[in-house]
Amino acid sequence: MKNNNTTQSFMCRNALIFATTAFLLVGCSTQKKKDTVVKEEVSTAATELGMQQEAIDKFQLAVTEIAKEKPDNKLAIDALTRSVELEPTFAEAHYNLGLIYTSLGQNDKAEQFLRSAKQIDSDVLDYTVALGRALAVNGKFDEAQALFAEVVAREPDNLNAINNLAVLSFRKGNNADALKHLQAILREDSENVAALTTLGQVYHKDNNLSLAKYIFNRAIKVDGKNPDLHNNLGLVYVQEEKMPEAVASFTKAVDSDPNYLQARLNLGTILLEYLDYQRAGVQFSEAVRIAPEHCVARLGNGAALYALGNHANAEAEYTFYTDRCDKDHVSSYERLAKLNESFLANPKKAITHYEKLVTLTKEKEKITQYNAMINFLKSQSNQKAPKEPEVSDETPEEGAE
Amino acid sequence: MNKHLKIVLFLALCVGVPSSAFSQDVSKTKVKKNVNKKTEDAAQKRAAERAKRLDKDKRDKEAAKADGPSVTAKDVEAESEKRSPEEIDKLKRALEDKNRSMIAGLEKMISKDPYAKNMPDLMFQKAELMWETKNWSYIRERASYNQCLTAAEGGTTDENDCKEPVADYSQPQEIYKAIAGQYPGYERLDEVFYRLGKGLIEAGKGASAVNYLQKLVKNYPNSRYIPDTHLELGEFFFKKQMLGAAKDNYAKVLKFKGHNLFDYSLYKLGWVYYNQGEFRNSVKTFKAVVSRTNKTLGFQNQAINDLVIAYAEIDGGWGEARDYLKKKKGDEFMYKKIGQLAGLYEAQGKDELAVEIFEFFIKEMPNDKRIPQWAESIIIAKKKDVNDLASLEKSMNRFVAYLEPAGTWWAKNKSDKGATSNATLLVDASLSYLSNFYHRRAQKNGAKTDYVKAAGYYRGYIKRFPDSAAAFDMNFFLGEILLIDLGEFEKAAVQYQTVVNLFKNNKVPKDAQKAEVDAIVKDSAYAIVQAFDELVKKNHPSSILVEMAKYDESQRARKATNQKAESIETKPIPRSELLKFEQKFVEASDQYSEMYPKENVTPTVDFVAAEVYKSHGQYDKCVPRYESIIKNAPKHRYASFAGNSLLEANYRLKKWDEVETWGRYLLDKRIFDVTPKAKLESAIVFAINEDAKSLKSGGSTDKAVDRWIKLADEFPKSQYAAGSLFNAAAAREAADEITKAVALYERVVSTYPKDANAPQSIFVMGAIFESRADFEKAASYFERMGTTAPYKNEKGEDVKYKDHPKAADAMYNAAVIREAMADYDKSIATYTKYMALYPERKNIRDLNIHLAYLEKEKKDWKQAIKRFDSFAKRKDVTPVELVEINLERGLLEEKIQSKKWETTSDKFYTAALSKYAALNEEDKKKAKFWAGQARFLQAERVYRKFVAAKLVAFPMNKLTKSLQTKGELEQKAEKMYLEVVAMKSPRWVAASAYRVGQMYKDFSDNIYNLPLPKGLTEDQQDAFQGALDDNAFPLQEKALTSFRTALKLALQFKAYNEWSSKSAAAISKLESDAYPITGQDGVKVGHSRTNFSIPKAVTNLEEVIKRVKARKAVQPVVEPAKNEPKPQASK
Repeated sequence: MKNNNTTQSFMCRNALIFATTAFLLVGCSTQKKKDTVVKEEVSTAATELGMQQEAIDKFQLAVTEIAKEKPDNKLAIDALTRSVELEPTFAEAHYNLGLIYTSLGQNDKAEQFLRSAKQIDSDVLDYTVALGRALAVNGKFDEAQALFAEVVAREPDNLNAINNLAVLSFRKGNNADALKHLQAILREDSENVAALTTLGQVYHKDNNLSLAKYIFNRAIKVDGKNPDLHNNLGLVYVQEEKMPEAVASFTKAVDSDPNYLQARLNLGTILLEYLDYQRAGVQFSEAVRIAPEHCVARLGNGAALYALGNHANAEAEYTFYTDRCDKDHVSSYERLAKLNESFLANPKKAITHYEKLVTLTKEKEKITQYNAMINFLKSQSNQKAPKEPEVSDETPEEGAE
Repeated sequence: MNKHLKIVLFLALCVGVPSSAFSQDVSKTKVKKNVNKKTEDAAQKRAAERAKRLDKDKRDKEAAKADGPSVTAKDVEAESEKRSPEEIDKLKRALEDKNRSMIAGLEKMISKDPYAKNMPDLMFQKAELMWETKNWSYIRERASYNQCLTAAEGGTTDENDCKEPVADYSQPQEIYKAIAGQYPGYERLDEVFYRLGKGLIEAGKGASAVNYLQKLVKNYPNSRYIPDTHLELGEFFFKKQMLGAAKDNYAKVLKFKGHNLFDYSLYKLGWVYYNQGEFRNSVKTFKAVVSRTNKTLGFQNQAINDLVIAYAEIDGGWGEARDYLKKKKGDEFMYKKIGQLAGLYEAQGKDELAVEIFEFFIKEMPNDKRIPQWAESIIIAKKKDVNDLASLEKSMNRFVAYLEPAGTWWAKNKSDKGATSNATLLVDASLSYLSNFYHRRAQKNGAKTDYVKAAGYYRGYIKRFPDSAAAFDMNFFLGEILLIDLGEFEKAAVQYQTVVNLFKNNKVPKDAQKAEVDAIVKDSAYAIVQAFDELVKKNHPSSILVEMAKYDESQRARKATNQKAESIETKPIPRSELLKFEQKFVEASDQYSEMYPKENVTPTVDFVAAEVYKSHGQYDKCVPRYESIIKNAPKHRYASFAGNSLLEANYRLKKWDEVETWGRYLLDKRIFDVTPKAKLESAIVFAINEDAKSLKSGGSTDKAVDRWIKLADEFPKSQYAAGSLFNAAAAREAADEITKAVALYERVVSTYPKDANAPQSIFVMGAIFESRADFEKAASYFERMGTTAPYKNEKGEDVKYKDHPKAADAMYNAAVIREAMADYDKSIATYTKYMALYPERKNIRDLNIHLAYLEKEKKDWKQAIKRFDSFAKRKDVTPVELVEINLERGLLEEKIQSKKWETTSDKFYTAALSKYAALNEEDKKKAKFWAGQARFLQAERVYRKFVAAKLVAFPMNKLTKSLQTKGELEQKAEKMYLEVVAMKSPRWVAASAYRVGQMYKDFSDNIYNLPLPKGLTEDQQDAFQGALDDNAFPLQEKALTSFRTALKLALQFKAYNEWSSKSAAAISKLESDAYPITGQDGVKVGHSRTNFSIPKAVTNLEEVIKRVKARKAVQPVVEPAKNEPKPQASK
C-alpha cells in the first residue's frame, strides 16, 4: 500500500510537473510567437525607415513598459534614452521620454525632450500640447499659452489644448477666460472630466462653493474614481469647515491613487492638526515615498515623526527642510532646537539652532526666550564638561615647582 | 406628428383614388384604328402577289405551234460526215491540188480547142471538178460550223459566232448553164440539170431550179439523180407549203431505198402529214424514221421530238408516246420527251392533258426534284377553272403537304437548292392564295366558315414561313380574324405579338411603305392589349379589370360609394402574383406604352396596367407606369390620377424622395383636380420628414438634418415644421454638434412656441446648458417649463407648458440649480412653484423641510420657522423628523431671540429629546445628530452658567458657596454632556467631551487664579495657596483626563471638527510632551494637482512608421556645395 501510495504520489507529482511544463511551454511558445511577430515588425520597420534596429527595439521596449499598470519608469527611460542616442531625430522617442518625465514630475527634463520632439516634428500637435504643459508647470506661462493657442488655431477641436488654455488662465487668475474655454469644451463634451475638474476649481476660487461642489459631484458621477475630483472636493469641504467630509474625500482620492501626493499631504495635515499622529505619519511617510524630494512631504513627515517620538528621523527631516527647502524656516529650527535640546542630547546643535532662530525673528520676546535657552544650554554644557586648568598668560617663576 | 399627418394623407388619397380606379375598359376604349382600308388593301395585295406565280398563263401560241422540221438534209449529211474538219482539210487539200491541176489542164484543153468534140465533157469535167472543189469547201465549212454549234451547245462558245456556210457553186453553175445551153444533146445533161437545179436552190432561186429539175425528171427518168431531184423538189414544195407536191416527191424518193437521204425524205414526209393534219400518219412516219435512224442519233432525236409534236395532236397521244418512247428509248428518254409534250400541251392550253402528264410524272417519280414544277403546273392549270375551287384547294393543300419540309420529298431533295426553292415558292404561293382568297371572301360575305378557313391558311403559312416578310401581313390578318371575327383572343394575341416581333426584328415586307407597316404594328400592339383584356375579363372574374369594365368613363365623377378606397390607414394590399392573363395584359400594356408613349390611349393603358399591379399589392410595379403617364401625357385626364396614385404607391414603398418628387411635380404642373394643393403640400411635408428619418436611421445625419431644415424653411406654416426642426436639433445633438442643436431648438421655441415640440425643446436646452455649466440659462429654460404658456400637445389638445410631461422635472432641476448657485430666493420660489404645480410628486414631502433649510441659508429665520412648524403639523411626519424639526426650531428661536427665546428654544430641545427617547434603536441612529445637538445646546446653557459662575475668594464661606455652586453647575452640565456622548453622534461627542474637559480646566484655572485674601501672613498665604492647589490639582487632572478622552473619542469617531480641534489644542497645552504638535507651520491643506491635459504616448508602431516616413519625405535633398571639386578618377 505504501509503495502504491508512493508511486501514486510520484505519478501525481510528475503529472503536475508535466502539466505545468506543458502549460509553460505553450505559454512560452505563444509568447515566443508574439515576440517573433514583434521582432519581425521591428525589423521591417527599421528597414523601411532606414533607422537602426536597436533604436526601434528600445522604443518598443519602452512602449511595452509604459503600457503596464505599474511601469518600471527607469527601464523605460533608459530604453528611450538609448533610442534617441542612436537616432537623434526620433521624435516619437523624445516625446515618450518627455511624457515619462512629466509623470514623474521632472518637468525640466520633460520640457527638454518634449521640445526636441516638437522641433523634429512640429506637425504633431500632441508634442506641442505636451511641451506647453511642461512649460506651464515650469511657470513659463506665456510660452505655454502661445503653444496652446497655436494648437487651437490649427485644430479648433483639440480639447486638450483648450483645456490647457483654461488651466493656464486659471493659474494666471483669469477666471473669466478660463470659464470661457471650459464652456467651449463642455459645449462639445459635457462629460469632459478634465474640464469639469478645472471648472470646479474655478468656482472654488471664485468662492462659489456650492457650484464647485455641484460640478465636482457631477464629474464624480462620470468618473467616480478620479482622484483629483475627490481631492478638490475635499478642499471645498475644508473651506466649508466640513472636516469629516473633507477627510472622507481625501481618503477616497488616496484610495483611488495611492501615489497621489497632494491628497496625502492634505489628509496628513488634517490628521496632524487633530493629533492623530499615527495616521498622519502614515500619510506623510507615503508622501515622502512618492516624492522623496518634496519639501512639504518631508516637513510633514518630520512633524509626524516628532509627534510620535521618532526624534532622530524627525531631525533628519527638519534638517532636510532647512537645508534644501527653506533656510529660514523658524518652526523647523525650533523643532530642531527642541529635538537636540530635549531628546537627542545634543546641546551644541540645539544652541546652533537657537542662534539661528535669534537671527530669524524680530519678536523681542522670542529673542529673549531663544537667548535664554542658549545661555541655559551653554551653562549646562559647561557644568557637565570637566574643568580644565586655565591656561595662564603669566610665565611661570624661576625655580617654582 | 405622424398620426395626424397620416389622416391628412389618407384624405388626400381618398379624393383621387376611388373615382379614377374603376372607370376604364381598355377593350371598349375608342381608339382610332391606324390600319385603314388603304393599308389593308395594300397588305392583302402583297399577300396576293405572292400567289401571282400561280396565275401564269403557260399558253404560248408560238410555243404551241410546231416549228416544223428542224432538221435539213444538210444536217443529215453533216451528221453522216464523220470526218473532222482537219481530216476534211487534208482530204480537201489533196483534192484541191489534184483538181486544180486537172482544171488547169482542162482549161488548157478547152481554150486550145473551143470547138472540140468533147467540149461538153471537158466543160462538164471542169464544172464537176470545180463543183467538187466548192463542195469540199462547203463541206469543210459545214463541218466547222457543226463543230461550232457543238461547242456552243457545250457553252464554250457563243452560238452567234457560228456562221452557217452557204455553198457557192456559182462558177460551176455557169459552166453547167453553158453546157445546158450549148450542148442540149449532151449525154450527161441530167447531171447538168441536177447540178443547175441544186445550185439554184442553194442560191435561193428555187423557182428556176424547179424547171431544170422537172426537166431532169421528165427527160431522164432513169437518171441516177432522180431521187435527189425528187428530194430537192420535195424540199422546194414543202417550203412553199405545197404539201401535195412535196408529198409526191418525197414519196418518190422513198422508192429509192438505198438513197442516202431516204430517212430524211421519210422524215419530211412525216412533216407533210403533220402539216396536212394527218397526225396519225405523221406519227407513223416519224416512227419509221426513228426506227431507221439509230446510227444518226441527232437526226433521230429530232425525229423523236417531232414525233412527240405529232403525238400532241392525237387524243391520248401522250400515252402512246409514253409507251412508245419508253419502249424505244427507255424511261429517262421517255420522261424527257413526255415532259416536253406536257409543255407543249400547256402552250396549247391543253391543261388537262398536261395535268395528266404531270400527275403521271408525280406518280412515277414521287421524289423527283421537279415535283414542285409539276405541282405548280397542275395548280396553275386548275386555277384556271374558277368554278372548281374545291379542286384547286385540294391540289394546293395536297402539294403543300407533299412539299412539307419534314416530309419525304424534302428530305430527299434538301441538298438541291433549286428544287427546294421551287417547293418553297409553290407552297408560299398556294397558302398565300388560299388565305387571301378566303379572307377576302369572308370580308365580303361575312361567312364565319370562310374566316375559319382563312385563319387556318394564314396559320399554315405562318407556321411554314414564320420569318418571311409576308408573315408580317399574315400574322396581322390572322390576328384580326381571331380577335374580331372569331373571338379567339389568346390566339389573336399571339399573332399580333408575332407581328410586333417581326417588326422589331425588321422582318417586314420590303415593298410595304413605312407608314403602312407602322400602322399595322401599332394596331397589333394595341390589339394584344385588347385581347388580353378580354381574356382577363373572361377568365378572372375577380380581377380589377372586371370591376373597371363595369364603370363607364362618364361616371368617373365622385361616385365611390361602394368602393374600397385604399389609404394609409388601411393596411397595404398584400403582395400577390398577378393572374395568368393579367400578367400578359400588363406585359402587353407595357409593350404598347414603350412603343407608343405619346399615343392618346397610352395613358389609359398605363393606368389600367398600374391598377392591376396595385390590386395585387405590387406597388413597385405601379410606379413606373404612373410616371410614364405623367411624363408623356401631363395634360391627360389620367395624369392627375397617376400623380395621386404615385404618391400612394411610393408611400407604400416608403420611397419618400419619390413621394416628394411627384408631389412637387403635381404642384409645379398645377394638377390639383384629384389632390388639392394643400393636400399635396402635406404629402410633400410628410415625405420629407420620413425621408429625413430614414436618412437618420441609416447614419446620414447631415443629410437628414438638411432635409428637416429644408422642410421647415419651405413650409414654415406647416404644422410639421416645428417637429422637423426639433428632429434636426435632436440629430445635431446626438452628433454632439451642440451649438447647432441649440440654435435649432431655439428656433423651434421662438418660431413655434405653441407647438408640442416647443416645451420639449426648452427642456432639452435646459439640459444642454446645464451640461455646459451655463447654469443661469439652464435654470431659465427649465423654469419656462412651469409657465402657463399654451401649446398643443401630440393629441392636439390645448394644454400649457406646465402640463408637459417633463415640466415637473424641469422645474425641479431649475430649483436645484438655483440652489447650487446659492440663489436661494429664486431657488425657493422655484421649489415652491414646483410643489404647487406638482403636488403629487414623490419628493414634495421632503422638499417642504428642504425649503426650511433654504430659508435658513437665506437667514430668513421666521420663514424657516414657519416651514418647520408647517412640516411638523403634517399627519405623516415621522418621529425622527420631529426630533430634527424640534431641534431646528430651537435653533431658530435662538436666532431670532424673541421674547423668552431661551425658554422657548429649550422647550423645543426638550421636545426633540423627548421624541428621541421614544424612538427605537434604528431610528435613534438616524436622529442622534439632532438629539445630540439638542442636548448639547441645553448643556451649553448650563455650561455658560458654569462659566459665568465666578469664584469668590473671600470670605471663606463665600468661597465655599461659590465653589459649591460652580461645582453643581459643572456636575449638571457634565451629566448633560455625557448624555450627549452616549448618543454617539461624532460631532457632538467631540463637542461634549471637549466641554467636559474645558469645564474642569476652567474650574481648575479659576481656583488656581483666585487672589490671595488680603491681610494674610506668609504662612497663611502658603497654606491658602496650598489649599487652592489641593483643590485645583484634581480638577486639572480631570481636565487632562477629559481632554484625553475627548481626543480619543474624536479620533475614535473620526470627528475631525472644531471641537476635536479644540480638544487637541487643549491637550497639547496640558501634555505638551505627549502631544507636542498640533500642526506644522508650512504644512497646510490646499494641495492640488495642476490639471493640465497630457496627450497620450505614441505606442503604435505603424503610426511611428507613418510619421517618420512623412518627415523623411519632406527632408531636403542635400546637394554638394558648388565649389567642391568634382571627384576624379584615380590615375
